[in-house]
Amino acid sequence: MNLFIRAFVFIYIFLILPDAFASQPNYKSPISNIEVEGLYSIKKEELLNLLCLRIGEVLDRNALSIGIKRAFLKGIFDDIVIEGSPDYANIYVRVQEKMIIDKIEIIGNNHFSNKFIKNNFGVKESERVSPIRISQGINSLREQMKKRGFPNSVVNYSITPLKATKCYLKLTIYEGSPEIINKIVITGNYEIVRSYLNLSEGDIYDETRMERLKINILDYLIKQEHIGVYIKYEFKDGILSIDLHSGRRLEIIFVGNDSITDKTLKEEIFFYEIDEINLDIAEEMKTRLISAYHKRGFPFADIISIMSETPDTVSLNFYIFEGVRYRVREISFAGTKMPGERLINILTLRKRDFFDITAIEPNRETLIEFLHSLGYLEAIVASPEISMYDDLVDIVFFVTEGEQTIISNIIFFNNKFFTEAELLAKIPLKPGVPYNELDISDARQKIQNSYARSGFIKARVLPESIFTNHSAEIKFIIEEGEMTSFGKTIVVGNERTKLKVIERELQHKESDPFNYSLVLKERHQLQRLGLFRDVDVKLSDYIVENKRDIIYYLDEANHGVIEFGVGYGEYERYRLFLDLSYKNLWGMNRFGSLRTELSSLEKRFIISYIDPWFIFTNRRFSFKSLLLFEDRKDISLDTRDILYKLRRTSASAGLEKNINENIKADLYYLFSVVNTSDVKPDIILSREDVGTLIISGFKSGLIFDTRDNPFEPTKGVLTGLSVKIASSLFLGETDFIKVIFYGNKYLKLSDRIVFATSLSGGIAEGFSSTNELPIVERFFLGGRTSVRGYAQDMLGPKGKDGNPTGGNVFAMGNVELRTDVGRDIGIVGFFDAGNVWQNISQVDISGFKFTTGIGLRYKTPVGPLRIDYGFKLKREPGESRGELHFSLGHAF
Amino acid sequence: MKKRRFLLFLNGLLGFFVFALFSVFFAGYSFGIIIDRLVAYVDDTAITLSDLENETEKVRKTAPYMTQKEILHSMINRLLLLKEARKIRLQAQTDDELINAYLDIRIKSRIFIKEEDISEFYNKHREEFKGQDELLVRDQIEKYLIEKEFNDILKKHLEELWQQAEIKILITDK
Repeated sequence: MNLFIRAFVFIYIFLILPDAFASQPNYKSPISNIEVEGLYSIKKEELLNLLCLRIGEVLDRNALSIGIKRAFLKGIFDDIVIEGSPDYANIYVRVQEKMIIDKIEIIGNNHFSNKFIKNNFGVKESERVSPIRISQGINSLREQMKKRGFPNSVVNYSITPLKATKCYLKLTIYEGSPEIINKIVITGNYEIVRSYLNLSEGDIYDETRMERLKINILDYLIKQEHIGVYIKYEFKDGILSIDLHSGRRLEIIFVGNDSITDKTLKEEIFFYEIDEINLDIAEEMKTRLISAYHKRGFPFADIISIMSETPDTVSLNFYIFEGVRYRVREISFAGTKMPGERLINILTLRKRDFFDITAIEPNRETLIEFLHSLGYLEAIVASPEISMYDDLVDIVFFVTEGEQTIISNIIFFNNKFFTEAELLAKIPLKPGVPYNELDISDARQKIQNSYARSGFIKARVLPESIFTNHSAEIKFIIEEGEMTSFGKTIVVGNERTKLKVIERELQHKESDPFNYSLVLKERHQLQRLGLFRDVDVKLSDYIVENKRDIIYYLDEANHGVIEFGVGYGEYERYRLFLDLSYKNLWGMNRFGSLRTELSSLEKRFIISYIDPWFIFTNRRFSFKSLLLFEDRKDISLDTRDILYKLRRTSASAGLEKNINENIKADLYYLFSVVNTSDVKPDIILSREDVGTLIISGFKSGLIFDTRDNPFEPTKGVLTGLSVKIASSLFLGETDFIKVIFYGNKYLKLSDRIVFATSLSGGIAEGFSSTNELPIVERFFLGGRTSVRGYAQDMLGPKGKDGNPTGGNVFAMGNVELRTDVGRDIGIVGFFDAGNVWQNISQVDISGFKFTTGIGLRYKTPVGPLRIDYGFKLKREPGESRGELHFSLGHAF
Repeated sequence: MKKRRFLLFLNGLLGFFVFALFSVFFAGYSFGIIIDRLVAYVDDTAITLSDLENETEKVRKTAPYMTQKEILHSMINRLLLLKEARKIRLQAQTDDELINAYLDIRIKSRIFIKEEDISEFYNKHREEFKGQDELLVRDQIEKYLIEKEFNDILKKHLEELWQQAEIKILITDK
């Protein structure tokens, strides 16, 4: 018995009690277990990282407190509690998430639509519940209902929790009785009010309509050149009172303005905001008009203004003496050895421009500043000599440069992080160069930026110049401040996008030196993903051991898109497409789409899938795959006879890699089952042109692209090379190799003119048992994107019945002069040349076909709508003069 | 004898289970020590239990009568004022300086005590001044009225800020 009792007491006292009643935490115990409860929206790892809780590490209470604040910034938590065993070895994290509104139900509304209520309430489905947002939403809704004649409306809400964090929000609307207009009283200009008023007696009073009425009447009267307009309205006890006084008409008459139109002069003296005209305002207008004349090359222009008034009208007559209009013939500089062209380039005055007398003084000051910046610190520029000949002006600036100041020495003070040699290498200054304040300011900025990029975000650099005779010693006094490192990254707002997608775009690591330009780069990268409407970045207020947290606020965009379109092409006639796509599959920024294209000639269904972050052999690629079902007919455009019918099922998968910003490479595996039928006998070149054929092979390409805009390029180059090999080795039934190259160059000749040129060519050859390529793989030219004087695919070798057979070689060149004539309309002149040959031995330069033509463009966000007419320059007997093409996007 | 020994053994076994249950109960209970937690929030700024405990320790040195609830409210008030000061891009070395700068601009600069108000106050409380001339106590009255006005406006302003912000207090009153 004693043994038992002794054993119980021993077990109880030494093994259980200490654990049970220990109240003093043992800080030395590392965390051995962490449990999390109530977490639904983010991964446990993300929460623990924000909280600074790691298994194996000793809990740090200060870090934990900041961790709670950091986690709270995510905006998803309503409560966070951290519990633990007395020794802090076992940690329990209990969180309560803010509920997500799954559905908003509206009841009790009769007059107002659900759409009106939802729009004005502002809180949306899938938002987290925020009592303050709901209360503000209700106030805003009630305000709008009040404005529309329901001043006694009441809006209540209730929240019913659903599964996990979801909830259901019910809005109960009590509209109350509306305010009815019993009587409308109009004083002043009755006719104008009546013509704009769209409320009648018996209607519900609507403040928003009255606000619109006021704006419309004011707009109308201002356009009628009225000043001193007065409009007021009031609704009280069922009576709507409107008082309108249309003021007086301001009549402005210009006499003697032969060179500048009335409209331009009126714009110069805009009087719309003036309530009343008096002599001071008339004088101010006159001064502005004279200045407008001076700027346009009339240095001797003068104006007399005369004002007369009647009860309804104020007349202001400006009698203008324009004088001679001068142009600048010559600008020269005396007293300096500096090249005149260099100095002219910094002036706003230009040869052959109209002479603007008001620009003389600012240009003189610019010259002085420029000379000072080059080290001529005592430079003087006297008022220029202006000589006038008929309608031309010569301007001579007299310059006294003085002696140039040279930098004798550059010294850095208080630099610890960078050595003097490192700092010198970062700046454009060195001893012996002319003293230039702009260069010194630039150097200061460069030093400061270098420090900022290395984590010294508070570093300040103060330059000081000490002059001795004509030499200057430059001192850079540096306050480095403390080095800051990157802390944790808090991502807010990624409800549908996985954290991993965001983290992989971030280039910094925790504890790296803080670099704000890197943060901005990361922000840009995140914006480029196309998943977010807006990306904002802030530095957190919480700093631990000089580590600064970064908070990325993401506003997620809609990731699903439905596109539908109808169109017309000269070849396929009416066409229709429907595209369903989603660019954030599984929250991983993966893209999937289902596209259907239908026309009188083809049915096409395309399923595509893209993973932009596909890791293969530790390298990042874009993985792209496509499944295509196609049923189409190729026809002769002239007779619309069927040349052949094609049914194709294709699958392709491959990798793309951006080697740098401009170079992209790709490699795809392609597998197609092609069934060709009803082939015109004269275009059959091989046995593979009819029946079912399996084509299997690889295609690889390299693209170099420096275009400024892929849809509307104005400068840059697009060039590429692609090679396709199909072989029975890859389980296909045909063997060939096909090489295509192209090079496009875009040159901006002026703001409205772009010169675009393109050169392309291709060659294909069958091998093993294949002599001729199957018809679907042969080259065809002619049509809207190639040689535009010819109909679709009509260039090149033809069968005995005149149908195009396609060929194994093609060469093509195009030139376009694209002009912008304003209002998003463009006119294009083009020249195309090219042809297709059966094989390389038949290539003959004299066989090139040439076409020229003109086209009309209308700009849209995805490229221009295009109409082109191409004329044949080497017309064969029986051929048409040219062809008309409708399309979307540029030809190249 | 055997029966007695068996009963004693049974008794002991029962005792063991009672002890074990008791211990497990207390052991389980003790795991629930709160290390830290969210005690309140103002928009996206959290106040933790450790913040509150630190502030309580600091405040009670000078104002031991203040309850933890009052201290938490004053922490929330400070956060609201700091947020407003940052909104109008005020800058200062410390948070206290920032709040003072904000109060100077937002409240103190708007207080203006009229001469009539001073006279009216003097006349109403003439007895309390024990026959002292108005001129002698004028500054004292003005100071008092400024302070009173300041407190009234501040209270009203804080009430507005409380209504405009999303504030939640997660702990029960102490």
